[in-house]
Amino acid sequence: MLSPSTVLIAVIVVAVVLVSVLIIKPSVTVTRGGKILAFVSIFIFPAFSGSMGFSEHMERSKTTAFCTSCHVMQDYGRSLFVDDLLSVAAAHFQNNRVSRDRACYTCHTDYAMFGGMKAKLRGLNHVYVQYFGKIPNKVELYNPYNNRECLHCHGGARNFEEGATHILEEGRLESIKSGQLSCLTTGCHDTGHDVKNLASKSFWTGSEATTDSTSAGSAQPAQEEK
Amino acid sequence: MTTQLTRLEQRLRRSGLMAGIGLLAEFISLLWNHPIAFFLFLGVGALLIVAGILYYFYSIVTVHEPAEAPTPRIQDQ
Repeated sequence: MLSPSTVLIAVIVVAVVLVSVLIIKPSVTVTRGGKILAFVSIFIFPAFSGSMGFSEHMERSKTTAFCTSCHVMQDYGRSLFVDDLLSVAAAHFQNNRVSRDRACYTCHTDYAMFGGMKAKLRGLNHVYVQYFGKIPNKVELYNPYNNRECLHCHGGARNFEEGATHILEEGRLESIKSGQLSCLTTGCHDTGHDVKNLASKSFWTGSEATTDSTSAGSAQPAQEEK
Repeated sequence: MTTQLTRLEQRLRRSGLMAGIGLLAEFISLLWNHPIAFFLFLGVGALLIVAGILYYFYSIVTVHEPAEAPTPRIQDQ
């Protein structure tokens, strides 16, 4: 089956051919057929391919390879392969708890109204900072990580609802659900991306998925560290 | 032999050029999965495509080509 990218490229090629006819011989627009050609080649095809292109780029921007293509994010991509399942990000990535090709987007998008849009706008700002601004020494989240993002998947799951430590004392589960007790900063799941200690870590190399350029891309560990 | 283009044809050619270059920029941006490709698409491709479309519509509503000589009407009796 044809992929959306292939269809889009075909549409662009047809659009370029049609518009070339008009550029080379604009006098064809004297006839009714020429006027229709102009409308189709300057409006219909470019508008269609533009909207398809926008959609395609938006989908691509959700991929792990896209997020880790900037130098500053590459250590975070490598941290997904750390051979330490106490690292929340690595455990989720390696055990397919999140889609590997959308690992960053799955956990770092606010699951609230406009969450995706905010993430995109911040992404545009990141690109601006990458090329025209001052890249901070330490990459930090805009806001403390919200339990809501964890509960989007884990909420209602048996191993969460009945987890021994989650129901250790009365009211703890409710505190977690309401966000009063953070999943990450209260000592339970406190290692997100262990980028500080990457040099001393061993890396997981045991899946075919790690060699899939579309899913892992530059997130793969450096060869010498395998 | 070259023929003189009318004002509307010149404008259509220009709008076609803008849309065409925008489409080529979009094509190039699709060959690369990187934030810069997204910016190339948005800042060059989409911008030129929109500019070409708007210029096309502007041209067809503002440029009035002289009408061809009217064919003589047959007077109704």
